[in-house]
Amino acid sequence: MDAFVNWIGTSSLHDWINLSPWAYPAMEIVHFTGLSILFGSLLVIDLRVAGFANFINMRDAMKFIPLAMLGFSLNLFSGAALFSWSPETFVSNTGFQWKMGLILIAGLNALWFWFGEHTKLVKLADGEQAEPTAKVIAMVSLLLWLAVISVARWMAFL
Amino acid sequence: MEFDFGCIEPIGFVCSVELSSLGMWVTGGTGNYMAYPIALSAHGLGMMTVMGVVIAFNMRVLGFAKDISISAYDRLFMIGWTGFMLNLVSGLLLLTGYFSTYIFQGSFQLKIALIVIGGILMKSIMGGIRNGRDEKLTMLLSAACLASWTGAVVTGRLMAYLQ
Repeated sequence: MDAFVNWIGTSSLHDWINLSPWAYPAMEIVHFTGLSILFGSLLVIDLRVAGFANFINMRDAMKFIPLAMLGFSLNLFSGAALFSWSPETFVSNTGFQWKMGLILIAGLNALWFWFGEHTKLVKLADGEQAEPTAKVIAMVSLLLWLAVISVARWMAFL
Repeated sequence: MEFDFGCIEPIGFVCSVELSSLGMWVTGGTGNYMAYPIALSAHGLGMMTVMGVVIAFNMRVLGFAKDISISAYDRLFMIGWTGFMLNLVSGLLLLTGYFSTYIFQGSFQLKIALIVIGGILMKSIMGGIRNGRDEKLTMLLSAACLASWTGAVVTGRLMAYLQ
């Protein structure tokens, strides 16, 4: 971890975010926009899988997966840039540690969804309910991302 | 006379809001320092929920996942309204605490204007779909709606940096 913190703390990304007066707010804006795209896509996917939006065809709901990936990619890039501003400050922040832990769990949950449930879900007929396992994965996904958003706001106070 | 919380008299109404018991509670003047982070968290959750619904709906109007019936999104709006109410209540609390700062701030004023425009556009798009309005005009309004709500997020973030 120390090697990673040292590496990113001396990278050109670190120089850019510290030297340009607009870099940090611009990356924050990208971070918020990325999260909006990610969370919007997850609302459609997870609410359909969890059974709260059965009026949406499952295959159509799954079309939001690439959009969710786009949102996550924006967040990953902007998050790395923000982190490089002062890596030591972030790694010692309790809120940041929680946020990263929750994102890791959300990532594992998404992998379980993709490799364990996705193929079965796209075969469902219009209005057909998903299996209980898939419903639990979808609810856990929504709750985890709500927690990530909440914890991220607390980073400034912890 | 200057108060500890930055409000300068005589401003009258502006200061009276900020120095009210609710305003002092938000800024920690009553000794409770949890109100501000909680209100800020609620504001973030509400914003992501509203933006989530706005993006999902407008992406569909613009032609993404075309097989989903647009009217099906009516039910998703209930979630959007819940997020919006959370945003409104938490936003009003934050505004009460820092009334003299925000009320004169250009980025805040622009943010509120963009939210109002975004809301009107959402209603107009849905109304247009129900009444079978020209598809190209609806798509144009949808793009403007996305731009407006994204602008609200951008100006909201810039409030921390601009006067």
